[in-house]
Amino acid sequence: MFYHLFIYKLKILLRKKTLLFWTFLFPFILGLFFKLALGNIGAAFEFEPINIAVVNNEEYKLDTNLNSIITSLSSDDKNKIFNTKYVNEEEAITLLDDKKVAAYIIIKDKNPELRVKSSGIQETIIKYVLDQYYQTNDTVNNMIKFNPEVVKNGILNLVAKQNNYVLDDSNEKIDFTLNYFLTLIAMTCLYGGLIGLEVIKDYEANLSPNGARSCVSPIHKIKLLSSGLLAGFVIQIVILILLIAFLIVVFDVNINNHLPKLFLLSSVGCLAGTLLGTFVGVSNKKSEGFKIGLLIAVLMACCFFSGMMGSPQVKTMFDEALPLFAKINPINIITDGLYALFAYDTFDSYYNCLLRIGVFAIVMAILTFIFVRRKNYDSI
Amino acid sequence: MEKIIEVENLTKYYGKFKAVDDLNIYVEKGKIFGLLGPNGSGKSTTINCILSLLNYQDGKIKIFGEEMKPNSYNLKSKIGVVFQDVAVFEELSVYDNIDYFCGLYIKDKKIRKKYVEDAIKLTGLEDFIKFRPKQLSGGLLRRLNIACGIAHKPELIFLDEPTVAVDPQSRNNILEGIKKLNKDGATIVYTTHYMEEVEQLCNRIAILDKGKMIAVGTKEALKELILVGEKITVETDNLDKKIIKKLKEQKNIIEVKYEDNILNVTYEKGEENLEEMISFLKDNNVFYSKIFSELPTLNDVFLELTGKELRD
Repeated sequence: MFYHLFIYKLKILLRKKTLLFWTFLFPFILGLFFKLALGNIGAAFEFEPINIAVVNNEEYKLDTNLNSIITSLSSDDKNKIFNTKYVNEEEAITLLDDKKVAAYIIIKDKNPELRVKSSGIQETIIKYVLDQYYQTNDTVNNMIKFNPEVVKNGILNLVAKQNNYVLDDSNEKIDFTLNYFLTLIAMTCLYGGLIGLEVIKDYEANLSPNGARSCVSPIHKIKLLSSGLLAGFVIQIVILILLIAFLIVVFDVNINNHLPKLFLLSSVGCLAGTLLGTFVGVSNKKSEGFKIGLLIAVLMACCFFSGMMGSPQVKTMFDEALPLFAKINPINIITDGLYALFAYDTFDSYYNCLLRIGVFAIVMAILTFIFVRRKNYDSI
Repeated sequence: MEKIIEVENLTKYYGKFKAVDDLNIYVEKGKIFGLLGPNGSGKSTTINCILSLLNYQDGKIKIFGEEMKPNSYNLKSKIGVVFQDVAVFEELSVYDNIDYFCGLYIKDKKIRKKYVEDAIKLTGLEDFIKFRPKQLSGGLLRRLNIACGIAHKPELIFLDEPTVAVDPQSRNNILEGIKKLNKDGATIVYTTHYMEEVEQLCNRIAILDKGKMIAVGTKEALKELILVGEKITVETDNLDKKIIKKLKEQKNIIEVKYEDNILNVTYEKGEENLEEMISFLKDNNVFYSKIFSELPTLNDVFLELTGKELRD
């Protein structure tokens, strides 16, 4: 009996074109837009070594510390910050005028000077490096001057080696566009609400003629509902798998490092989404169109507050302004949980989000049950 | 005779509106019971209360001798319902729709297959089993609606206005199907506002108006309740007012109307009304092109009991 109900519900749901558009095609289309709109932004923010010139005069040759720093930061390894050209002062000025370098460094009267033509990120980085060099250099000199023992006990080495100026030390290589795709996964989970809405409609006498027919049958409502919800959940999971595969293979989104955990959180998210839909379906007597509109509006708002439609700063701003809403917004919970997988070294935040979305699903299930357990109706 | 349905003092409100008012009916085993009344008279509400879909403020309802409750699954397994609104899945074929709903009652696949085929045959849908509901005409869709409700061969069937907006061919098919179901042993509750269908099908009829039962009985018994015994219609030109006045003075006549060259005469019960009318016309040298007699219908019953037409 359960199998009979399950198979037919699967058939029915898979043939609903509007439903499939919103739950299946819409996330893919949105993902495509994200890729087209954000794909190159990520590339644009990949760090490229900065072209600088160093005036290779006698004073520079004598300043072994600066010399070794510039050489180190210009070497071809993962610490490379500068593409350095060693030239005389006239050539340096020409290179700067021709915008072939962002700045040049010259030592005059034992003081390194930075010459630039404009201000920007590259110039700021060069200045930051030089400032760090001055500061560390002064610190070391002062320590040696007041306590020569530091050379023996190795503290000096610690001070001297503390600076990693620009270093990508992670394996995952997080970029800010990732948040959009994680929100997209979260949105796809919650769009299962439309499936939940569709399922509940066919089992409640006051929601559709089919619901009335189901209610006069000798099958317990919980059995009917659970078979329908299972069918809806299976479809959601398949959509989720396809979306994740598509993001990884076609859009080259780097989310394949924690797939089991990603899948677990998303699956619970799908369940939460489906149950949110059943709750919206049974909680009011408005038309089906109204309920679909209401659900989509709620989900889009949740997406917005989760940072899908603005910069990541928008999400941060809302999280700070509306902390309670941020904690119960299911899309935000899933997005945060997924982001924690890729951004943090520990899984505490991930498990916290998994727990919260699980509680959300249970609350939705209880609320749905309270409405469904009603034995008969005032009107149908 | 065993009573399959017993309804006592059923009262149902929608807010402050009394939709069913102290209704008492019973349905005997193997009979077709008709609920006749205009739209909004409480027919569907009564059925939905009997099925325990709707709550009600007062009354007792028993089916097969047991109190009907929302969780009376044993009783529900013996009942088939054809709702007024077509209840099928647009995404499933004709066959799959019937199979799905039959499957809510019949677990065994082989038996179910046989039952589904029987339902298809009964409703004449053999040529449309692979069609989706959207591809069916209104009449075929109604037949599918019926097939979905009766495929599991229930002992008790509720048919709520199953012939609304169907073509004559489909209507005949549906009515024949219902007779067949009854002949095979099913007890049927049939609601409609088409008096012809009730007269054709039902053994007992309850007439409802504004939630109240205004009469119940066999169609013959219902017609006995009213004065009207016969209506004679005559097509004749230029009838003199004196003759109309003279006609009104004849015995047994309740009402005389003459409009657009049509003379309508309503008689009390009597066996020689037509003969006397013909004699009267001959005696008064009235020439006529057509004359015919009609016995009272349930519409006349409704008209006399409520003062309005059944389809008002």
